[in-house]
Amino acid sequence: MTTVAHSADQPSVRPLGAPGMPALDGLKVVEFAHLIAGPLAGSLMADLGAEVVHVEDPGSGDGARYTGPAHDGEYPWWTVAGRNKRSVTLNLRLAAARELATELIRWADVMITNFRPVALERWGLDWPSVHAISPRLVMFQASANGSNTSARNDPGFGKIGEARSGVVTLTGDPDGPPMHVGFPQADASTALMGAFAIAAALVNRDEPDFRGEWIDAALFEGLFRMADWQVVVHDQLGIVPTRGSMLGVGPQRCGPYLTEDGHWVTVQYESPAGTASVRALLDCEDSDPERLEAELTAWISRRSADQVIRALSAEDIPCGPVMTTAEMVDDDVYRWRQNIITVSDPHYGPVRMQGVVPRLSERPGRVWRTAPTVGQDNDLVYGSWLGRSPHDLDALREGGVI
Amino acid sequence: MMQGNERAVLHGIRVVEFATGVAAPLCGTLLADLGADVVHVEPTTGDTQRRVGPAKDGVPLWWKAAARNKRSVALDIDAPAARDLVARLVAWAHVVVVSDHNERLIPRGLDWTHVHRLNPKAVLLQITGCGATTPIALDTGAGIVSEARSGIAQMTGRADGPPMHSGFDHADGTTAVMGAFAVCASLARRNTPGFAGEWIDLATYETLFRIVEWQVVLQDVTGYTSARAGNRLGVAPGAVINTYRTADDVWLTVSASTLRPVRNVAKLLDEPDEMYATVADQFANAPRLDALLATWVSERTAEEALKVMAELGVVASRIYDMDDIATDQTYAERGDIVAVPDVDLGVVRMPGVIPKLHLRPGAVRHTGPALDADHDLIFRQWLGIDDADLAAARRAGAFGDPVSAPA
Repeated sequence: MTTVAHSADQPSVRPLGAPGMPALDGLKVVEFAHLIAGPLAGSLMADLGAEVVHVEDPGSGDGARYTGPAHDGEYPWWTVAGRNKRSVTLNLRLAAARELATELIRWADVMITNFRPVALERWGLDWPSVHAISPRLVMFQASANGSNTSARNDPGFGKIGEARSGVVTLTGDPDGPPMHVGFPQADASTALMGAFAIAAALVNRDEPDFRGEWIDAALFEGLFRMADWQVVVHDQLGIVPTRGSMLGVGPQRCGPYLTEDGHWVTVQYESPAGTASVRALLDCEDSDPERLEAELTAWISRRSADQVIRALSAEDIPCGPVMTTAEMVDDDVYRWRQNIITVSDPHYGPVRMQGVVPRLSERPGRVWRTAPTVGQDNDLVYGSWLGRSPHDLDALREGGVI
Repeated sequence: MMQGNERAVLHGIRVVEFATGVAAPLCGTLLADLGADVVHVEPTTGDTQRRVGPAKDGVPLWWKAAARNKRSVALDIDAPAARDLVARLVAWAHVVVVSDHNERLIPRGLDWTHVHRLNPKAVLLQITGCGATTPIALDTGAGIVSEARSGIAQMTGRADGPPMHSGFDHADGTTAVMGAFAVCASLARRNTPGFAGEWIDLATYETLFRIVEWQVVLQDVTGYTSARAGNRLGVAPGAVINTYRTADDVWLTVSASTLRPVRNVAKLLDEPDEMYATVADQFANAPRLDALLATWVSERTAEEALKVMAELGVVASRIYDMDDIATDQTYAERGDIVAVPDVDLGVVRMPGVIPKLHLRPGAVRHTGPALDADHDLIFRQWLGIDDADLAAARRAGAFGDPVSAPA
């Protein structure tokens, strides 16, 4: 049993989680964050059982509430993006909000933010300030260029982070323009790295010398880290990797290839063994890789997707369909993995969305609610958890603080 | 245990990898970067991943970065004589990382049931193409095939063109980070009473599938199936987001995804503000603005274009290649590229430690190890196996053919 001394200026520390509960049960997270790069990190933790309070501007709330196609006056994306969280409102621009912000920081084990460094300093939410308020707090901060650079207050646009990571120049046809992938790749990668870093900082949280942690992320860094080889081949060979060159050399050959029945199939055959297998399957004598690629393309175009996948899989050549969302919903692997779940939403009724990833067998996560409305949990969080009276809450509402 | 990582946040965490490919070993490296002691167990002929990608003077380069900060031991884990050493490694570890389907792990004693019995507090991270227990006939593979399954390939590419893959190991990279998150989330409670280990069963398509949050719900509620839209986000059609080529042949990304930034683009192009007043206006006029911007950028050098756009609040950037990254001020100020001494290459540059922790930061201590470089350290010092037992295991073939095995 771990025992931790309590002192007046430290929040009480209890071991994380009760037996049988999700992995991060009992962990308290406050988000002064909006859109994706910060809040998605909180979502991943909420999926594993953390209690996450999402702090929003009173009135319209987080801009992510109004992102993507609307349906029936509502924005379905937010239903997922805000799931498993509590929503409270707080107008951080008002001096009167400072006290509640401080109490939320004292309440929390973890704080997530993706406001610009200059805004955090103005609101007293920068690392020195929050570390002084709560010495055991773990703070994850995402910004365009990190908080220690001359470009620290540049606007934090995910697409710019992607452009600067190196991966956009690597993506696209060799003779075409550089391409961004079709989702907010830098924002999401930053959030993933953030969730990892927060959890890493919590691993030794019950050691006596634990003094919190400050994780300072720049939007381009997550993708840059994943494409690690680009730095090495540039440094050692002077190669500037570009589109269509996997690992900086040789063409990237994986399709997708169009089948006779109009589907796209990806085939990974770049390895010597994979190339040999494809050559044997196609009975291709030619040693020219361009010819082999052309023959494979033609061979696939004369067969259905099912036939292609069955034939290539029989030779242990990795391949698979390029799936649309509609196909995922009907797919055997997705079904076997229970990747798509149905959750009850007050507005939509039963609605389908992603299940919890990662899957843990002993203390699995769960989805217990779809996204809350703006400030839906003000009474619970400020009243029940932080002990504000109904009278205080009324005054805060009238003052536009919450 | 390892020198030089005492300050790092995962100092004292012991990880053993019976894994190959990109995703699972990268997860181990992320943990090693933050101070964990990570033992990479390889076939006696070496992990095939050692030889992937370009080489310099016969020295493969990727391995130097991919396997940095880890220890290497060679062990024929399929040999009966190695069974006890595998068990000792599992018993030693806080974290066991594997990259195979259960059907291949059960005979080796490395599936959850075996690992959990050997070490009831071990966290097992199992990374596979389609899941640990999914019928193997359904398993279509990992790596880039997972991008196809995840949905991102079908939403990437021009509207009138084929689906497209990323130019790097996107599924593997994101899977590695998700795995590292799951491992640390599981370890966060390892000192609490009743902690009984964890089995993390992660398929390589799942992370990308998860982080594109709108995919399923939009399809379910509206029937929307996210189509390709070039560089613009399919789900934000009013935005002006694209890559544009300058007069001096530099590609720029311009990103204006909400009302005010799009109006700034209109102002840059001398367009009437009233044509871009609302989301509906911007949606209707987005193709016009995109075409005008392409022309505008094509008539200017990158330097000129970026300067004028910055003045008008249009957010844009050069699309960096490695020459740009290597000379960029922000990368330099962040310390995002580090130079690491290497026995074969002298000094080799690679990404620094990401994520950056302030109080207990990680570090790059050494490049990817030579095959079996840490045999003595691991088996004698860390596991405390005596010479007679090691010699017996060697004679019985635990380290491969006794004649050709390393001394």
